[in-house]
Amino acid sequence: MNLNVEYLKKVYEKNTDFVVRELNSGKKDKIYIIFFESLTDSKNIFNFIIKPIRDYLNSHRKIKEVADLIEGPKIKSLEKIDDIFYYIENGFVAVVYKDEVYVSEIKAELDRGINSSDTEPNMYGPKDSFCENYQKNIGLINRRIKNKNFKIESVDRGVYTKSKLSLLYIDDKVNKNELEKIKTELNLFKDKETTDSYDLMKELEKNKVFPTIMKSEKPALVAKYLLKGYIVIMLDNTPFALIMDAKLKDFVNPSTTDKFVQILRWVCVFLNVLIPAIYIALVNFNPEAIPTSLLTSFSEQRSGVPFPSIVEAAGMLLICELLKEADIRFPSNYGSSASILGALVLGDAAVNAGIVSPIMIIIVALSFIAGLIFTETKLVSSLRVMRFSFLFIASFLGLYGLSISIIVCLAIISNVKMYEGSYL
Amino acid sequence: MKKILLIFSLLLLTGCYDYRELNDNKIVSSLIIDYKADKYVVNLEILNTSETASAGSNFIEASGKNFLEALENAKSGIDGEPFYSNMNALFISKDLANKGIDNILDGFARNIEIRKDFYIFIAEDIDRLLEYSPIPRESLGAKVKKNYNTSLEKTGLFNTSQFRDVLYSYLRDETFMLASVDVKDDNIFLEDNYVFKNVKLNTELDNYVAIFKNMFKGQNKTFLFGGEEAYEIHEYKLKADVKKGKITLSLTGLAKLKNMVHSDSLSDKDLDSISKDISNKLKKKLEDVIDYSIKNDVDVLNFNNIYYLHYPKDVTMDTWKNLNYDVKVDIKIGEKVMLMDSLESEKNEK
Repeated sequence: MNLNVEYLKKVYEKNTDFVVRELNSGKKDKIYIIFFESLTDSKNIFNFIIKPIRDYLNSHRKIKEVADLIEGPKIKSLEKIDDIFYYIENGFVAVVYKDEVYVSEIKAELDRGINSSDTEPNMYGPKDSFCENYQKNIGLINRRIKNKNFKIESVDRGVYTKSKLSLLYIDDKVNKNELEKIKTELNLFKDKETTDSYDLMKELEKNKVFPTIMKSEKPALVAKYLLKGYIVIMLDNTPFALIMDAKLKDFVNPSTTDKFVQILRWVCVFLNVLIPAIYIALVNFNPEAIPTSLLTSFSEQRSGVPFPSIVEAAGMLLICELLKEADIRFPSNYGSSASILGALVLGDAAVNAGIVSPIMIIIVALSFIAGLIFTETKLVSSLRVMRFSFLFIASFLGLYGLSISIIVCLAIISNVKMYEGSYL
Repeated sequence: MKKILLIFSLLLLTGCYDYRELNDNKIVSSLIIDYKADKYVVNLEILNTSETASAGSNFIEASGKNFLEALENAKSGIDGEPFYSNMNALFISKDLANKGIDNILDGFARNIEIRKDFYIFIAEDIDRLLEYSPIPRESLGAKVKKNYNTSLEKTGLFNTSQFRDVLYSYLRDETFMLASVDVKDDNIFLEDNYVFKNVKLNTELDNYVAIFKNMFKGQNKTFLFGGEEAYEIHEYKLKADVKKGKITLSLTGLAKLKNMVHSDSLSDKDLDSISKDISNKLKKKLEDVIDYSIKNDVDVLNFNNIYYLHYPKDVTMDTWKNLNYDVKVDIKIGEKVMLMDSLESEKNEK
């Protein structure tokens, strides 16, 4: 085995952060220290690699074993020359002397550390959340599950990204068939470049409307699902773990154990999806189901509104969706202005201008507030699809059509494809 | 693409036939039907849903050769479609009641859009009824319905029926009762009770018939009995015990002395005597109702139906007239009520 340093220099000649440091060994052969400046910690390289070698050379002048000169917790001798590409691209420092190549892990701290979760805040549970560092993320779960049956299977994905992907499961709890199916599915796309867990979700998910993979950045929640026998996929450089195969109830109640809150969240699904549709069906097709005083009040409020109630409802829901999207994407400094503008447009100006009736504002607000309980974006988007579908069906077919469409929807939900088991 | 086109064409070209915008519905709170000069005259009481309206409702008049034609003609005077589902009351003139209301019942029964739970009343005077001007958010129909429900709750002196009950009685050739309403000085009040036989107004009835009718149905919680020294009967039960050829009516319950200020001064003997007195008076009233029914050939308490439920094979239209009737009344003065009365009087004295 003989490493051609010149060849390496040629391969990486356009990478400005590629460094080959040559140390004179006092003999014909030089010591080469090879690393990527951006992926490694220069200070540690000096302290653990360069300084010990130089000190040794200054006192002994003759090298017996290079490995003895390098300091560091994880030093490995390479058997195959080609492996050097993998290691230096992953933040290792290679030390080459004659035909010996050693690598030592001296990675730079490129992550933001362990912070509390922004997307899944909780009041009483643990506050830590995953970061972009794969090792730290695995460590956070390892700290919670200390059992020999807890398995972590890792593979590298993509020719260019070589992202580390891990399959986490507890051997005596996991469904073996499901595990095999997921492994097979992952192997099919092993060369696909993946930079984000969202890409991975799109690959693995079998239904376009209803989510079957849950995303979480909370190690406590991930550990909880691992203990339930779920399979977790973790990808390097992403702070989200993917929990598979998640059922609808897992999305609606991901972490609550309080029965009342669980029921409340299901009620919110109902309110979010069906309230606008039921209102439209009732006022346009079955007003006899509304008590007289309420009907008079509705009629009073709607007098002067120029649009049919379906246009009114669809328009208001659309504005709400736009506001929500704007609120998520806007930098936080601008976030409040979007809300104020929304409140003015929705709450006051639209009613004063006689474009929208106050009852419609209440209906849309009720539906919208009920939807705010759910943070899982895929669930929110599937609820949105259902909400608009039911709304249009109710506007054409009334309560009868709505009830039929609810039955059809339940049939579709129960038929959502999973790797193993049923969705409902 | 074909699928999307199919879905869109289905959505755009189909839909329920009864789609109607809320504001196109003109909510009918009550309907007044009169019969004048061989024509049906209807007055639709439409609720005013405008915020600035000075009155709660207004009347739209129309006439026609028959009742349905009159209703159809009324549409021309309304900017929208009359919406009958939330109707509170139907008022029928005395002339029409004397003529018979079978075609009215038939017309309503056939219309699926009309809910069948509105009350039917007799209008003592249609013109006076039409002069009633309800305040905003109030209507004649709602007001009469409210008055009737209050009377049911407190006195039980009037008995009228919802449309579905009337229809049920009509289909079974039974008698039914309707209360009448009148307006004086812009006040609506319930006036009398009338019994209908063969869907025609038969005769005016004493309030006690309404009380016993309501008691049979369990519609009122309490009822007032007596004149100045009134008793409020509560927690009562009126049962009909049927045996071959005989119906035994038994009434049990508690009485509260309404105008007795120092009721605690009464001895047990006095209370027994009052209880017996009330029981005897009520027994007499109930027997009078039975006698009146047989004399006038009107089964006001629907004994035939009660007997039919036990001996269906033995019943003909006149069976009830040939039955033996026995009346048992046992009303007691409730001690708790007496105590409450005495405490109240003590408080007043202090």
